[in-house]
Amino acid sequence: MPNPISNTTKGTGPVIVVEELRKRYGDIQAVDGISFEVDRGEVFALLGPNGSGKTTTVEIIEGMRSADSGRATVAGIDVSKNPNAVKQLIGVQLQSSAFFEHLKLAELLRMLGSIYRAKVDPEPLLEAVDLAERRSASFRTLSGGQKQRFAIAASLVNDPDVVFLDEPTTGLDPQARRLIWDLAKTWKREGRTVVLTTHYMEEAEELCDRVAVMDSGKIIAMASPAQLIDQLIGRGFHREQEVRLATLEDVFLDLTGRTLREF
Amino acid sequence: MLAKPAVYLTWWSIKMWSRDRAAMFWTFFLPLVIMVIFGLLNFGELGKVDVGIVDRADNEASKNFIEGLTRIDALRITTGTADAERAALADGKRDLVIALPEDLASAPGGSEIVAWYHGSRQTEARLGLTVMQSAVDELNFAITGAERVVTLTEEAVEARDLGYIDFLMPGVIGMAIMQLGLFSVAFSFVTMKREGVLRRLLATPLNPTSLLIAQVITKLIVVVIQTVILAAVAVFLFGAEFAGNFFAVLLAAAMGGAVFLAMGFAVSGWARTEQQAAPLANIVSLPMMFLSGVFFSRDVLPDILQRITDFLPLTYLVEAIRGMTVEGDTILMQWPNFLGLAVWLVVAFVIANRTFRWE
Ligand SMILES: Nc1ncnc2c1ncn2[C@@H]1O[C@H](COP(=O)(O)OP(=O)(O)OP(=O)(O)O)[C@@H](O)[C@H]1O
Ligand SMILES: [Mg+2]
Repeated sequence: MPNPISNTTKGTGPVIVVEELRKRYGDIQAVDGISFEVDRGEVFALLGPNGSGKTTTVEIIEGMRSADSGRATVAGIDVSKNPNAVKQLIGVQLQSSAFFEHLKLAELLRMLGSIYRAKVDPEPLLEAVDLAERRSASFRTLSGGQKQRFAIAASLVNDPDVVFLDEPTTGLDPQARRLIWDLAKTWKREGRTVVLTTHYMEEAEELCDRVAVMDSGKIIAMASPAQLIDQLIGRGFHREQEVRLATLEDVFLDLTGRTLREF
Repeated sequence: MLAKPAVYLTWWSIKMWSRDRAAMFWTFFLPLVIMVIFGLLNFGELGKVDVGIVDRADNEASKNFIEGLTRIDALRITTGTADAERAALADGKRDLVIALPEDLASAPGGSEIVAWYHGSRQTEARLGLTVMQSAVDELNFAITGAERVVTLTEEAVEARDLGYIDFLMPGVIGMAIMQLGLFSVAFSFVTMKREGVLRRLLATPLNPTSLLIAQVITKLIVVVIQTVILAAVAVFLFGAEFAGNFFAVLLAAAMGGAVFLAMGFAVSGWARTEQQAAPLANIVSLPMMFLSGVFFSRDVLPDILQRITDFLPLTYLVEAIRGMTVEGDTILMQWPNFLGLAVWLVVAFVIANRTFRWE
C-alpha cells in the first residue's frame, strides 16, 4: 500500500491547513473561526495575550481536543477523522507536561518511542537539550527549566515532520532559551515544520518566518515579523528611541557565560 | 493479538511497578504481616464449639434437650442426618457430633447418647463434652429426679484437622487481591491523570486500550506472584491445607484481580484527586474486608447480613479459593462462585467504561 503521508509531506505547499476553526467552552468562545496555513519547513508562531486561544488552537491541530466546527489537516490528513495518523507524524510539547514516575529520562524516551514503534537512541536527544548528564534522573527531580527541556526532547522521539511547541521557553534561563532557539533553527534546516506559541517577541522575531497574532479567539494579524513591523511604522508609529549599548540580558549572559551552565 | 506498543508498554509498566517501593509494601509486605499476625494469634481457637446433633428420637424430650443446648453461648448447634453430620465431622466442620437415640427418655433400661468428637481438636471437643455432660445430667434430673437413665458415651473420631490458618489463608489472599486491584489502579491512574501524564500520552498515537491492557497484565502478574507468596508462607510456615489444584486457585485469583482492577478503574475514573479516590476505595473495600469472611466466618453474622454478603465480590473470590484449598474443589465444583465473579466483572467493567476519563 502506498503511504499517503510521505507523499503529502514530501511535496511543497502547506503542511498544515486550518479552516474556520471554532471551539467554545461554556460562555467563552476560545477559538472563534480562525483560518491559516503553514508551509512545509516554515517556523510559524501564534502570539497573543493569555487566554486568547493559542493552546486551544494548537491542541485541536494536534488531535488532542475536538473542534466544534471547522477543519484542520496535517499533511492532508483530517485531524478529526484520523487523529492517530496525525499524531504519528507530529511531535508535541505541551504547555505543561508530565511523564511516568519510576522511569529514568533515557527510559522515558525509549518508552515513548515504542509507542510510535520507533527504536530510540536517547543519548543524542538528551544531549540536544543538554540533559545527557541527567539521563538516569527521574522526571520529577528535574528543575522547572530542565523539565521543559526534557519535554522538548520527548517531542522528537518519532523524528516528526511537524513539531508543536507550546511556550517552549517560558521559565527557561537565557542560555537555555538560546539553546532551544538553536534547536529550532536546526529543525528548520532539517526541513521540519515548527509551530510554536510564545509570549516573547524577541523569540518570535528571531525564529519565525511568519507569526499570527490572536486575540479573543481570532487572528487579528498574520505576516512575517518584518512585515508587521513595517506595517506598524507605516501607520505612523515611532518609538521613543534610546540607544543602549547593552541590555540587562547582555549583562546576565556575560556574567553567567554564553553557553549553558553546568549543573 | 496484542499490538506491538502494548507489549512494550507492558514491559515498561512491569519495570515501573518493580521500582515502586510503596506498591511493594502494600502488595507483599502488608498482607504477609497480617497473615503472620493472625496466623500466630490463631483467632480460630476463640470461636464457638461446633456441635452437630442427629435427632433420631424426634420427641418432646429431644426437642427440649436441643432447645436447651442452643441457648448455650459457647456452642453453635446444627442438626442433620447421621451421615451428613458424621461427614461434616470428618471434614473438620464440627468439633463434636451427638446422636440422640430413638428411645431417648422413654426406654425402661435407660438410653445412651453417643458423642463422636474430633480426635485432634481436644480443646474444643473437651469443652463441648463437658457442656454436653452437664446437659445430660440436667436431662436425667428432669426425667427422674436423680436416677441416671441417659448416659453419654464418647468416641474420638479421626478427622481432618483444619485449623484457623486453613481458613485464614484464602481470606488473606482474597483481601490482598482486592486491595491491589482497587488501590493500585485507583491511585496510580488518578496521579497520572492529575499530573498530566495521561494527557501527554494522549498526544501520542497510543491506543488508550493498549495502556489499559498493559496495566491490567502487569497487575495480574503481580496478583499471581502475590498469591504464590502468601500461599507459600501459609503452607510452609504454618502448615496450611492446600488440597486443590494450584493453577485453578491462580485462575480464581486472576479472575478476582480482574474484577477489582475494573472497580479500581471505575474509582479512578470518577475521582479527580487522590483525596477523592482514597475514601471511595475504602468505602468499597472496608465493608468487604470484614463481611466477606476474610478473618472470621460469615456464620457469626446475623442471618440477613449473611444473605446480603453472599453477593459481595470478595465473598465469591474468598469462597472460591477456600473451596479449592480446603475442600480440594475443582473449578467446575466452584462454578457458582466463578459465575458470581464473572457477573461482577461485567458490572464493574461497564461502570469503569462509563466513568473513565483521560484528563
Ligand atoms: N478545558 C477547558 N475548559 C474550559 N475553558 C477552557 C478550557 N481550555 C481553555 N479554556 C478557555 O479558553 C480560552 C483560551 O484558552 P487557551 O488555553 O487556548 O489560551 P492561551 O492563548 O493558550 O493562553 P495562555 O497564553 O495563557 O497559555 C481561555 O479563556 C480558557 O479559559
Ligand atoms: Mg496556552
